[in-house]
Amino acid sequence: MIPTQSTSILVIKDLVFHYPNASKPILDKVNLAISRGDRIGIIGGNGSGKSTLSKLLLGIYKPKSGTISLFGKPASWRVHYPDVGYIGDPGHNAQELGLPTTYTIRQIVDTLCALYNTDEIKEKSAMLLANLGLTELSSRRIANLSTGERKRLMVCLTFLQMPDFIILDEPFDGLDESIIIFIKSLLANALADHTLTLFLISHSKVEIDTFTNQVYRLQEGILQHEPQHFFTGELKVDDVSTPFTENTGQVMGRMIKLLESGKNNNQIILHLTSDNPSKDA
Amino acid sequence: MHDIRSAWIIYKNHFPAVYQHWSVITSGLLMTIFTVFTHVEKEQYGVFLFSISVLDVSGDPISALQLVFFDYFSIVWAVVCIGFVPVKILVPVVQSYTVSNSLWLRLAPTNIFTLALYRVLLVMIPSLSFGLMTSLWCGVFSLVHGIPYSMIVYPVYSLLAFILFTGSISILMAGRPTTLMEVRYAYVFLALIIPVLFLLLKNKLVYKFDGIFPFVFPYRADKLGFETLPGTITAIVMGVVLILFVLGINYIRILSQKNQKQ
Repeated sequence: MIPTQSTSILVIKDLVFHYPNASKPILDKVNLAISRGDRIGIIGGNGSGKSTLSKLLLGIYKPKSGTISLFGKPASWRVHYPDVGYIGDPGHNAQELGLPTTYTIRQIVDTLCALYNTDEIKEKSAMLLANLGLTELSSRRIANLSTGERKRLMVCLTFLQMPDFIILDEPFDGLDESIIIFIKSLLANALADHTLTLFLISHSKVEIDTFTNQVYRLQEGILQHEPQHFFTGELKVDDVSTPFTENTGQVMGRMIKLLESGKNNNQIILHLTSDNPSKDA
Repeated sequence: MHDIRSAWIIYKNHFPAVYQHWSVITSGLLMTIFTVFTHVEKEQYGVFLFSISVLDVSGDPISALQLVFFDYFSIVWAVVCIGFVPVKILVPVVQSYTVSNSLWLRLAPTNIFTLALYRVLLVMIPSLSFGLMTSLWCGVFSLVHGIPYSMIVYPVYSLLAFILFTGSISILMAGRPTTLMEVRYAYVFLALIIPVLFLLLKNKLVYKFDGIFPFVFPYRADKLGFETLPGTITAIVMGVVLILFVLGINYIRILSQKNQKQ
């Protein structure tokens, strides 16, 4: 079913955008509607316009023609979106990472906590700072942080607020393995606990398959729906078999639930068949 | 009220220290304590420890003290206006419009009116703080040297006028969309010199408005103290009007966004 404007979080209609002096538009007549709970994956080559699309959603860029409506309001720099989280590089300069360089980590996190002013968010901030390895860096100015550290802070700010809609633009690039695992677990928990809507831009098919349920490819300015990589298989626990056809994330979620339910003393047999073995998954 | 609280939170978490303001008043108090008149020659007075002036005051020590205080205030004024205002007020104001400085706040429970109020606080709090501290300095100078407070308080208003006027100009100009930092720093430079250019403009072009033309210097060589007050008050009023204009525009935008949603 195509979502209507009233039920949609995001509606993009006939969006055209091109950079100054560019010979052709980087986005040409793009249409997309995202409803609450949708998990959209965007793939495409370098320079295909994936990050440009995310900047248009945030109102950093203005469309040449067409419209973008986010939470029922036209996407614009003058509109604020407390229900949106963003992890990525929104800057006009390389590696800018969209954070105020004169602030310390502590100042920015404290400001956010004070704006919400709840005990829950204060406790959550301590947990996130510790697990993202930012507690020891909290008195350091953002200007003096590495790209990875700044990205970790963006993750902290996003999950501190737990918005309804998260835009992730290459969220795991340049991060240490242990941090990636923690962020993925945060994301998996958030997806399990909330009706979270995701807009994930990534080069990694594994990430796209894990966290999204609809995939679009941007190529030559055109956004096209891409068939997703599903697995067909059978899960056998205590001689009870359950057949399924699911993507990587759903299979992983099923396995995690089984292990958490305490049945890990018994034998779990998983048979998987990829529907598209030629693709890297 | 909610917007004012949010703007205050954003301000105080980033600018908790006001010690720079205290350093100014401390310097002023030191100047006050070490100001001693020594009779150098007939009808001339010098200032102990400072060789900044030897004043011909026709034997009137009160007038000499007034001129000495104005000279001191000019030094403090220059330090504040060159060393503090661009770095601590104008640059933060223009930077507050950049993607890096405002995106995280756009994704927090704030709105454009909150950010407009935050920018106003960036200008108002230092101007009021400096106004308060230099008033105290005037009071101490007045008590220590026995000179009427009203004779020396005038430059306080000029400092207040400068910070308000130049700050409000930076708020107004930096709202223009640009992605270039060079342009933003040009706004800082323009905001800093426009109040100064007003003096040249007044002298060259608008002699007939002499009394009320915006004026932000501690004092003028040809006029003393309250003779130039109307011009200073004009500069303060202009600063406040520009700030109210920016706040008003952003408040209307918020109302129209709410109506659009309904």
